[in-house]
Order: sequence, then C-alpha cells, then structure tokens
Amino acid sequence: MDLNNVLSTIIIVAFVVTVVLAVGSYMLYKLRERRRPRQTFDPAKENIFFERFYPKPAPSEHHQPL
Amino acid sequence: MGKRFGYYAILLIGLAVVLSALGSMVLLLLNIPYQFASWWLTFGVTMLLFFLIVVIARYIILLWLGYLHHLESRIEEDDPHDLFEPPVTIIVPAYNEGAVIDSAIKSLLALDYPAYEVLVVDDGSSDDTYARASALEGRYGDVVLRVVSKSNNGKASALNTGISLARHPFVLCMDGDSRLSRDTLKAALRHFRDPNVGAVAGNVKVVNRRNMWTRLQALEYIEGLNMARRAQAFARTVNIIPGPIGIFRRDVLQQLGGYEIDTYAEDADLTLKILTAGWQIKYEERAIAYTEAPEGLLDLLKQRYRWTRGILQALGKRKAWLLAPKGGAGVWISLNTMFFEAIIWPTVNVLGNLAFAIGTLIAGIPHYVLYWWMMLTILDVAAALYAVAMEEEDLGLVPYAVLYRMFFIITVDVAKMFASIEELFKVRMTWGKLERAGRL
Repeated sequence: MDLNNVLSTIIIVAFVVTVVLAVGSYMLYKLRERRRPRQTFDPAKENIFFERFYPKPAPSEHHQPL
Repeated sequence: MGKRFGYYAILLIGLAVVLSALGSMVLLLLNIPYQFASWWLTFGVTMLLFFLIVVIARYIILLWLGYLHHLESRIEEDDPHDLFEPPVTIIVPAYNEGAVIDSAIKSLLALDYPAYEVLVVDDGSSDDTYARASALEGRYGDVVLRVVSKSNNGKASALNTGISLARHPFVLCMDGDSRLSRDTLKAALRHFRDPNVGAVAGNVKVVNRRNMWTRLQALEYIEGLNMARRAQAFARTVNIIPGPIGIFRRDVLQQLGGYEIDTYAEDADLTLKILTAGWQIKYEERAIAYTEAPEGLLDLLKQRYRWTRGILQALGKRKAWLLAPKGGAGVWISLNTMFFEAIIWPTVNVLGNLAFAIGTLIAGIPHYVLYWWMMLTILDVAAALYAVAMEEEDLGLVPYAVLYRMFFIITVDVAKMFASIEELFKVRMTWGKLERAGRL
C-alpha cells in the first residue's frame, strides 16, 4: 500500500470516527439533560414586555447620588 | 501602521491562497473519471460534485462580500469633526453574577463615549448580585449607573424591563457576563445617522481561549460567524443580532413589543421582527463584546442545540415570509440564508463528507480522499488566515483551522442535525442556564 492510500485511509477512518463520536457526544448530552431537574419550555406564557420592577432608592455613600 | 500593513499583506496572501485552492478543486473535479458501474454510484458522485460546488460557491460569496464590506466600512469611517453621538442606555441583565458584577460595571463605566447610562437589571438573583450592583449606583461624571431588581423570568424579560425603563432613545442590550470594547458605542451609534437603520449587530469575540474547544470557538466566531455576518452586512441582509451585543432604537423595540419568550433564540426572533417590520440592520465589527464560550464539549452541544432549535422556532413563526418575498428581496434572502445556515448547510456538510468517504471507497478511488482533504484544509487554513488578518486577531488561532474542518464542524453539525430533527417532531425542550467558568 503506498503512502497516498495509507493517508487516505487515515483520513476516512478519522472522519468516520469523528461522526460516531459526535453522535455519541450528542447522546451523552441528551442523557445529561434528562438527569437534570426540568424547567419545561412554555410558549403559552404571556408576553412580559412591561413588567413590574423594584427600584432601590438608597444609593451608596461614596459618590454622588442620582 | 507597520502592524496593519502586515495584516493587509496576510490578507492578500490569504485571498491568493483561497483562490488557488478553489482553482485546484475545480481542476480536480474536471479530472475525476465520470463513468461508474451503476446508476446509484453516478447519482452519488453527482451529489458530491454538487456538494463541492456549494462549498466553493459559499466560500467565494462569503469572502468576496466580506472583503467588500471591509472596504466599505473603511470608507465610511467617521469624520472627527462631524460625530453622531446621541445618548444611549446600556442594559445589563444580571442573574447570579455576584462574582463578576463589580468588575463588569466598572468596565462599562470606562467606555469612550460622551454621555450614557448603564442600567443593571437584576433578574431575581439568589446571590448578592443586586446588593453589590446597587452599592455602586450613582453618577460618575456624565455616566449614570442605575440598578433595578425584578422577579426571575429569564434574560428576555430582564431586557424588556430595561427597555421600558431606559431614559435614552438608543439602547445597547448585552449579556451580564460579557464585556464591551472601549469604543463600542462610538463605532456603533454612528450607523443610526441613517433613519432607516433600526439596529446594529456587534462583533462577538471569545475571551476564555484556554483549551482546544474554546480556541476552536474563537476561530469559529472569527472565520464562520463574523465572516458570514460581514458578507450579510454588505448585502444588507444581516439576520442575527447576537445576544452579547445589539444596539437598537428604543422606539423600534417598543413598537415591536421587545423580546419575546416563545423561542429559544430571543435574539434571532427579535432580529426577524425588526427585519420584517422594514428596518435595516447594520453590522459594526469595531463594536466588540467579549464573551465566555462553553469550555466543555457537552455545554457546547447544549448551546448549539438551543441556537438551532431557537432559530427554527423564530423562522417557523414567519413561514409566510420565508416562502415568498413579502417584505422585499432583502428580507427574503435574510430568512432563507438563516434557514440554509441552520439546517441545509450542516446536513449537507455531514452527509456530503460521509457520502464522499464511502463513495470513494466503493468506487475504488480512495486516493482522491487525500487530495480532497488537503484542498479543503488548505482552503480552510487560507480562509482562517484571511479572516484573522481582517480582524487583526491572534494568528496563533490559524493552525486550529486543521482541526476545525476535521473534527469541530462535524461534531457541531451533527448536533445541529439532531436539533433540527427534534424541532421537526416538536420534541419537548428543557430550559437551563449555560455553565460559565467566570473567567471575565
């Protein structure tokens, strides 16, 4: 087998292994997510554009207040 | 001057190598024997040739348009006697950023801009984020720092609160754990001189270049995301204002209802809202946000999974705009480019490479794999050199282009493919904050 074929084989094997590892990593990621506590996506939640906020009136002492 | 000249020289060399590699690929294509034993093999090889043509066309279009944008932005550089520097509010959503909020605020107070306010919106943190931020509240020369707190409801909600409380006609929305370059505001706000511009997308850079994954992402941001955005900017079709840095007319956001929470990519969704409302979006490469990239593989996959599904959700809300040019050719191209980059290109990349590897083995021409790989790698390295030189970035990232094609893009594209399939079948998603190492 000449060098060209050896290198080509290495590239093909590396590529196929990468795809297999990528699929494996994805499965692992899904497994990890499944084990975590869920906070499910809820598209029906209302729009929250103008929401209440709680301003803090007391600024610090070491510089000029607003 | 000397450094810049050096980068321009590299830029030209990179361009020459890219064009040479493209020419070589075309010559290789012309030399492949095009007679195969069966129809399916002929079909496979035809698909591969199509894939190659798409690769070449994509590179040519992105590099050329990106270069034109680079030239255009140099021509448009501001006249120092005629500056456009309206007041602006920087909105910083912060959730459990207690460890970094002090330094984040101090860096924002030191930007090179005449007058602006920094508005920190604490999104119901369970740590001392609010206490630490509010201790700094006050006026610093022409810069005002305000801090508000609200119940926890996510980044989009925090940004919307900030938009509704902003006192200035322009707002900069960012991530709580990002940092801005000193001249961000000066570089970005000048685009709003044009009354048709509704928003400006900034340039995101990876700051935690500590391991292979983060360096590969740093290169990806420069070569992949920013090069594409630069090309889109020249074609007036910017389709994502990145979460870590987007600058907007406040009244546009208020008219459009701000960020929505029904997708996983609120930044992509808002961008499409702005585009379909008829506003132009510009890209400013000197408005830089330094952000932390995921440091591990699984967190990287999580981020890309969310991006892909979020983009598909945002596009799904605008199917009619995707199918027909309702708002003009520019909007239609923006949406379709987004669809292409989110689904079509990753799928073509993985399946095309796989088909090539298997096809050459079956067809008995495995030695072409080496030529193919070498040319793609030369092309990638040259493109990386070109993109890195254009942004005057760290040249040490260029060698990572070899790993980028071979491992990184395939790994990310596989995750994107699965995310697309899951979105197609509406598989239930979970929500969660990405793990950050707190390097900033």
